[in-house]
Amino acid sequence: MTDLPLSGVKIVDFCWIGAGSYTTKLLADLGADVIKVESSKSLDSLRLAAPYAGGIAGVNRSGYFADRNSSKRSITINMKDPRGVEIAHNLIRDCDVVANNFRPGTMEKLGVGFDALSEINPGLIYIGMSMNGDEGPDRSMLGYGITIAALTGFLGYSGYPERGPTGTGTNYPDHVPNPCHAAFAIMCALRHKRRTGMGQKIDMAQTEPMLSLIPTPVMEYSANKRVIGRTGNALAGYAPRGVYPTSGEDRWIAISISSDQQWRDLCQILEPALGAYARWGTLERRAMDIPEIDSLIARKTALWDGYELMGKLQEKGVPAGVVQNARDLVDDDPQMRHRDHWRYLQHAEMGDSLYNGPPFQFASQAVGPRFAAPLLGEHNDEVFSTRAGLTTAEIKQLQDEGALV
Amino acid sequence: MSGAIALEGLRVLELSGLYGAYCGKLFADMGASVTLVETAEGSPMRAKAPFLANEPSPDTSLPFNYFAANKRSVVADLGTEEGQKALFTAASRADLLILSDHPQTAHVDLEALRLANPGLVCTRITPYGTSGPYSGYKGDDLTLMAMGGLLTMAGYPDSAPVVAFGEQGLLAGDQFAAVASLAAVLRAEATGQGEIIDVSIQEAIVMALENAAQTYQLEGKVRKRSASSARAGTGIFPCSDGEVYLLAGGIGETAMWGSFAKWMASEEVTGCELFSDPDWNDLAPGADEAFRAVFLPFAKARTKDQLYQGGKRWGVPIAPMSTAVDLLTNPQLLHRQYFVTAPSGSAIGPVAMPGAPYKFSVSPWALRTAAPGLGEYGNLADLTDLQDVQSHD
Repeated sequence: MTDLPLSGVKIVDFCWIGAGSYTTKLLADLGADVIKVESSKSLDSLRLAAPYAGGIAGVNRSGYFADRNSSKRSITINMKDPRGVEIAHNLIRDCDVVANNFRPGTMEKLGVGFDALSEINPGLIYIGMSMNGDEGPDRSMLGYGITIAALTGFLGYSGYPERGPTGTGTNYPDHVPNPCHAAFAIMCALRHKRRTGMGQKIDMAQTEPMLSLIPTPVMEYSANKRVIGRTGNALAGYAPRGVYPTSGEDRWIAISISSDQQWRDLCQILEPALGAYARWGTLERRAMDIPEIDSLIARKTALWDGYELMGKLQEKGVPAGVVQNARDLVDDDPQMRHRDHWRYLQHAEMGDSLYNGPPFQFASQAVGPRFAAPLLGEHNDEVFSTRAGLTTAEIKQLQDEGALV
Repeated sequence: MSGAIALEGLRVLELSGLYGAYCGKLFADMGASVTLVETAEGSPMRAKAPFLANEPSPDTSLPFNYFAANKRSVVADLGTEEGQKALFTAASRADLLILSDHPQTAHVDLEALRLANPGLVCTRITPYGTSGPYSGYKGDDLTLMAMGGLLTMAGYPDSAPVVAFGEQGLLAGDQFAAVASLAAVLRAEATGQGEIIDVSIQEAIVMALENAAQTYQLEGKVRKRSASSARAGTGIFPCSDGEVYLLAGGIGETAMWGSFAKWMASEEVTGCELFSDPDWNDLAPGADEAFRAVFLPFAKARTKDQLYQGGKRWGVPIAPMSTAVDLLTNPQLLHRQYFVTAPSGSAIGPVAMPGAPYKFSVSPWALRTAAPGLGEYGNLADLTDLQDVQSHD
């Protein structure tokens, strides 16, 4: 059995809530040993976020928390207690990476800032992921995925032109841009450390990866002094491109036409009396009559079952996709099943519960969540005895005295 | 070895089209030598709007100039024997090969390339993965955002779902591809063992469903789009020079309302005692109207930045709904010198573009060279070394 790609990498993780925990989960699923430092005095608020197993709230029952914390071990340390800080230092002494997504200054106050830690571990890679980064006038701002989406313009650019912005309906930057960029950055620093022995500090403002993924508005303004607006489902190079109703309640299909052949094939399937559509033979011509074309298509697609229509269109090479919801994806999607996307892991309190597998497969071995999310402090004894050199009696005493809680 | 470049010495071949390029960019910007292999017609990304002065040409696409900066360009016809030979030679010297929707993808046999170079990491990005019932399906961003389950949550309940700006689904595939690729490269450098990685864009989008899958599995509820349904104090609100997004209550059960109530009290906003009332419930019927009656007169008399600064002082999550102009003059982004200009020699001139998504204290992100002209480094067959011929700064 080959080692996982990140086997042997040791991470002490102070991340909580969204993007930070997702970052270290990606690394943990790829084999890194991630110790999540928590405290019952100041809970990761994602532990108190719905959904809960059986609909019953509890610190070990959130499915949202679980999916963001697979393959990690959890310990509890009261970082307000100097003995707790000393134990944290002992864990960090021989680790590769310390991660956090607090506001700037918080880690320093807890005694685990970059300067203090790099003294005890000069090769340490340290990443901070606050909303606005470590420096600058707005560094202390508190942020969530949705406010980052607003600040970066991503929310404002997303939606129909004639109505208010709609974004993704989620805290999008938390789930892809920030975890992926932070995980990539940490691995860049790991490679650098392997070649030079040097550690370093990574300062990732959570606004900046999102901005790096939407270059066009700023470049358009800078180059052409044009301020772009919302365009709904339309996109240059496609006509038509839209989301159309199908049979069933609130069921839709997305169709994107980027060639005249695709247009002819779409017409052939939706309306065999092709003649009526012939005047729209070219993309340029179609682009002029989009509202009329969209309503004609919608009238036809409404008569179809979405999956049946998707199959017919895809047979001809026309890009089409049913607007699937979580139930479709979890219960029915044959491609998700083929790729073993959904993983059911046994959790001590939640039972068999659902996790995302990764969106990539390695030919040499299976990768993905290795074990379910930890209970709060589940690995206290194991970690404090093997990694911090404490005896069972010492651990018990420090817990009773409030240092390891 | 200067020691200041994180991915120095890493040799990457990029066979991309309308996606795959951001994966290569993440490597190039951290110092890898990335060679973009194009057909004689040029990468499809060169035809991607918008263009400098709205004039399409192979060198004036703004997206191409962004996504291909720091890369070299060579041309090859992979459908010929000579092209195949060149590809094998280049791949035998490479550490990573990224393959997405390159126009000649059908001519690239990753298994054979990997056999010829067992240490090579090959990353294949496709709409649905390379095997399975949907593996032959075509996909663009919109149809993949639909099939990946993110689209169903975006928009108003009374009209068709509406996709997020900027083809984020395709970019999600690129980002996860980069994470998987670098993990495999780290192992290959340590052990000599390469890898073949199969990335599904649909599945990359599924990773963005927040708590929707677990909400269905654990509580049997299916999340839908809800842009107009209001939890009081959450959403977009008008102010004197635009709009702000406010999340007065935070998320989860972290009650941020206390902070918000203190802010409003400090500003002596009429009616604000409502928010510190122990019975205040932001989900109660009428709460949204009550909230607006108090907050809107206050917000409409202030600018986006004044409200943002107030939120900063009082620990309330609020943010301006920024325009491109706002971003280019944002004091925080200016302080961090986030936006950079296209390097000298760029076909689009000194245009502003996004810069470093992360700041490294020792081995930083760097924009070194402008996006290349088509085949600026000749034919793939003539390439003697995948390392950059120019030494890095």
